[in-house]
Amino acid sequence: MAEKTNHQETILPLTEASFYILLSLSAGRRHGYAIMKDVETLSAARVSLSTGTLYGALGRMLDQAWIGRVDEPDEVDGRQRKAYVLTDLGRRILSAETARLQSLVAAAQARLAGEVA
Amino acid sequence: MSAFTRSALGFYGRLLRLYPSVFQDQFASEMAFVFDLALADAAHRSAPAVLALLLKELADLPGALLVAHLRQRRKQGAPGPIPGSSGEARLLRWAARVVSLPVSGFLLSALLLSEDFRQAPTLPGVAAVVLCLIMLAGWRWEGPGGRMTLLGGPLFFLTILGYNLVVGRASLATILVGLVMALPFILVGWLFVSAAALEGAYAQVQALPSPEQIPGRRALIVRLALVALAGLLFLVLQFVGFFTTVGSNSVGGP
Repeated sequence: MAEKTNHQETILPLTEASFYILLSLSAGRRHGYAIMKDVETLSAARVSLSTGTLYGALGRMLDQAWIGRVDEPDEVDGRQRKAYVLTDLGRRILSAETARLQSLVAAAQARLAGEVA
Repeated sequence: MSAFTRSALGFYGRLLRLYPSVFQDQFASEMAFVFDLALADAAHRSAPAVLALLLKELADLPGALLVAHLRQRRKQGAPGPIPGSSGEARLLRWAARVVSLPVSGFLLSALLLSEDFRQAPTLPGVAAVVLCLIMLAGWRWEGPGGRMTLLGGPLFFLTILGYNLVVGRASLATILVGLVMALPFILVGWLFVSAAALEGAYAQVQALPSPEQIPGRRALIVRLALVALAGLLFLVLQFVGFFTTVGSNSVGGP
């Protein structure tokens, strides 16, 4: 349990870009452009990923096995498209980060509501 | 496809070549495809949207390139600031960096901001500037930078001594100042060289040895203590104005 906690502590907190990418993939496989558009939607246009930022993050997450890369069944303009899927590890990390953010929000709401002296 | 779109795609394709080759093999065609889609989408909306897209890509490019190149270096196991490198090498590396910053910062700012030095640079002063830059280069190239800094220390001392002999100001004080000025370079160079050597050794071993197996552990502590002492002595002398009185005379100041 201590090892798991220590490992999470070295990974979390996630950057906003990483969090939104994992969140986007939690709904199912997506290709790069779909991830880009979905992140904009999820963040209410607050986070707008450039291709460099997006693929830098995707490359890092592939190395860390948070996501996987699969071939799309259809070709577009003669090009084989790649899609990305969330792995079990990526899903656990997304859950851990979500829980961390929820605890932050809960603490802030409790303090602001005056429940804690 | 309009001429502008073709130009933008062509330019973007050239920017992609700045990424590491492995990254290009993995992602370049996808990135070009996504950029094509994003450009078409923006063009469909408005001209300012196209401009915003281009500016966003250009603004994020330096950071993305840095991340991609660092990632590539980590995967290749290159020496340097690699996460997970041996603890001892990391300790030596950071000790060298921590001392190199105030030493080089003080010397570079004192010399380069000095009107007198800029108008009439002296040999020891120029040697100090060059040696500071070499020492800072050790942050990136530990082995070569460390060795050059290590050798440069004694040469710097001889330069100070020789200069003061020539101008007729040689004395015990100038010898002491020369030693104080040269010692941090010698020790920082020693630390960088040691860090590079340890990093290379651990890369070959592929597993961190237990603390009992690490040779020269006492030597490690002695090195750190010496460099901390040298750095502290250097800084104390600078701050009490030793450099501006006897020291500035030694390196040819007013």
